[in-house]
Amino acid sequence: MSEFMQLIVNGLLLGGIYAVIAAGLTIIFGVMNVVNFAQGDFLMLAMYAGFFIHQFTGLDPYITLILVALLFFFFGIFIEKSLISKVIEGEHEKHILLTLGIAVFFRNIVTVLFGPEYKGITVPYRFKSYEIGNVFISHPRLISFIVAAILMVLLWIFLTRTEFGRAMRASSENRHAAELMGINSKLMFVTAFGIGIMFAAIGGVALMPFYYVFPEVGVYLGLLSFIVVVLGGLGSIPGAVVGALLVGVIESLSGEYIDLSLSHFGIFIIFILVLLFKPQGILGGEKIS
Amino acid sequence: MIRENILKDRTFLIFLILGLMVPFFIKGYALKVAIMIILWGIAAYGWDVISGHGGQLSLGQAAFFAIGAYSVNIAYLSFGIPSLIGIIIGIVFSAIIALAIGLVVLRLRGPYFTLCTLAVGEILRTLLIYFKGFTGGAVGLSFPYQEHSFISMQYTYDYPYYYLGFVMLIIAIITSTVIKNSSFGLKLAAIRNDCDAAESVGINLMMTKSKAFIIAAMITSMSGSFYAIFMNYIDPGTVCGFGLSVQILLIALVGGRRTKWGPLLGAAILIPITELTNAYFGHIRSGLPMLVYSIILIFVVLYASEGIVNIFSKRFAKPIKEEI
Amino acid sequence: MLELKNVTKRFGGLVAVNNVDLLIKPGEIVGLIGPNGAGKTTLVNCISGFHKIDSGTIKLNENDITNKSVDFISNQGIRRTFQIEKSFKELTVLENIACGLISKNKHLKENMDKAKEVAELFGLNNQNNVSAKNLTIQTRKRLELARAYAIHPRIIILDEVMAGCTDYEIDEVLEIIKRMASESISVIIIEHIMKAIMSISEKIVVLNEGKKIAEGLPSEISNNPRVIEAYLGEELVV
Repeated sequence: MSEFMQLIVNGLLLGGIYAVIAAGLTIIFGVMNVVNFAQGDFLMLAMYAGFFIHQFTGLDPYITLILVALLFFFFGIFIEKSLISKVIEGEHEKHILLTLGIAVFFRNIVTVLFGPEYKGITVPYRFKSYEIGNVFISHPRLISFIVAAILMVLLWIFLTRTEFGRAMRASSENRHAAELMGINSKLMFVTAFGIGIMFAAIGGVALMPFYYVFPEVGVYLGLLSFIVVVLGGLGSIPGAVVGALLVGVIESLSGEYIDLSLSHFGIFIIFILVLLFKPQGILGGEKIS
Repeated sequence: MIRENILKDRTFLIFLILGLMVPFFIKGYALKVAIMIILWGIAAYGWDVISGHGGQLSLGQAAFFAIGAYSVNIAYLSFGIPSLIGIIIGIVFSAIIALAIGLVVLRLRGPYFTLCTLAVGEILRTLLIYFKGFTGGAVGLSFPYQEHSFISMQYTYDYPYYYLGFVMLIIAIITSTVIKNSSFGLKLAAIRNDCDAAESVGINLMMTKSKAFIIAAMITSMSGSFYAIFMNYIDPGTVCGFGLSVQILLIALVGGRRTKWGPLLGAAILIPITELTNAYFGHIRSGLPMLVYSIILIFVVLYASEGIVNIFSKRFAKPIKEEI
Repeated sequence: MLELKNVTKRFGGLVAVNNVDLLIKPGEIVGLIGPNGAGKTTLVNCISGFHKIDSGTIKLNENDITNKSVDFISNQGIRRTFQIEKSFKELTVLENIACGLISKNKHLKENMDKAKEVAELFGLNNQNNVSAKNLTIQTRKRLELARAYAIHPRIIILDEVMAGCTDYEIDEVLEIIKRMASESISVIIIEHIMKAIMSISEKIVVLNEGKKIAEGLPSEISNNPRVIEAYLGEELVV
């Protein structure tokens, strides 16, 4: 029983990070109506960035996190201005194809430049953990979860308490009406994309203690974030949180009870089932709420 | 959409004749490249049926490619069935799987559908690795050489492979053209333009899309079987990989979707690029061909999304008399 | 003959269509009016299958078509146009009309030939090979109408087909409607242009807040105090 609880706790903790990545994806969809197929690969790039910064400067991982976050916020803005904005008026198909191209580009430029070998960082507190009842809470997981939680709270405050955040929510509900109210759509798009990518990057760096760094790492994590977003409802941030925690737990349980090579399989099946039976997601909603 | 009878189309007949003569003039490595162009062209025609005509962007055609490839190999290795039959088994199997998956996946629209096809491809890849006993797992299967014969489809020279591929290519092109000029193609066009309006004129979305999905699967399977026969070695990462799905998407996109020559043209452009990249840089790093592909994909999406054939036909199109 | 009994459609807590009865005879022209949000389009969406109803029945010539799929209902002989026109933008005029025939006839050439006749009837034949996206909105609406008519349906539903039309264009559409009715096609028209709908309809049905508040001849309706009240003081001009 305590083993079961352990798996659940592990899943929830990891789920916190998934929530951050998924929130990024859902903001991009909510505000821009763009399905970002490259979310996982931005995450992967951030992991490489984190890896190299740590390697060459020996900076504390949490400072690295902040640095990478800022870096990728601006990187996201750059990508939006140079590429995404060109197709944003069109149908979904172009969005998919463009972000797909970006995703494959990232994956392969990393392979070409750095090779396909797995890299990893070690942190001194890797195996430190706290014991509560019968359950061990690993230190890195806990810290990552706390970071994720703080981030989500900050996001919540931003979206509900600041004027800019409210403008973004208005834009996601009805772009034209928002424009008529004087809200600058282009600014909304750029910001939303920047935030979305920044979150993916934060998620990536936060996951570094648990995942090796290699070019394909974004594929699974990207798909996972899509599953979370669909589960929670496209555009819904609370949905992303709930979905992420759920997915974290499912992943944790299926990794233990099903053959490891099939654990991904379990997630995919859940994905297809959710798409079939509740495409609006568990909490529903097409706007950021 | 003017009804054409493909057999009366002069360009097609010329193509047929020239195509049959190719092995007389082209040999060695160039012939191998020609065969690869044909192979990937066929796969691209398959993709075009569901994602061009059907308008449903699939990122999982690799699944059917793999079914075709593994059917041929397993049929022979486990059951001693010669390749020709193996190809047909692959096609039948793909059709059945496409029917089953289609019932589930085709209810979804747009990005949801695409994501689902991606998941399907990945699921199959995982399964192929998992059931090692049957499929050789991640290591893959190689096809031992038996004899030089028609039915086992193994030859000491390349040119019989060329003709095998050419026959398949003709089938693919004819299928694509027939679809385009038929009621079925018009139904698909209606669905592509506006699903609700299509339903309001009595078109059954599921049945029509399903038909397209099945035909696409069968053609893709054919190309996968051909791959297995020609390459003698397959593994899940290659024949069921996401990269493969992207490659055939790009080929059809670059060449021009829903056109008679688009997918073939796309292959004729992109495959030599791949070969050149591999030849000069393959030993440095893998991933370079896909890198080039991704740059081309981004470029095409931004500036040339209709594809080369469509861009050219617009340049030379006759102006239509309009009275407003 | 189309028969609606106790048709109710809810969206969450909102009752968009509330216990509506309706009877439409072959060749009858029925005008459906009511203030914005009254439930007119929702009602025709229920009839055509785009919305599933929560209670009640819809029968076409004694065949129960309640909650059947859109394409099934369409093939039973109910065709429609949409408030925001939905022609097939990438297809030509002829191809659009041929789509109207395609579910009943697999022969493309026959469909295209018939489409030419229909295009001529609707005054579109000088643009047969023009893509719908290159037409004006009015022409596209006409095209949508032609596409719905092509198969000679039993019932045609027109949702604000005259919006934005000039007086001359309105008269043209009225002629088309009269002709359809004379061919035993029942026509349900949703319209805000009172002059037009009052002049052509044999019967007017008035919806307000989902309920049917009046039904009768145009002359009766224009004097009905409940109807006038529903429009909040807008005078109905016949």
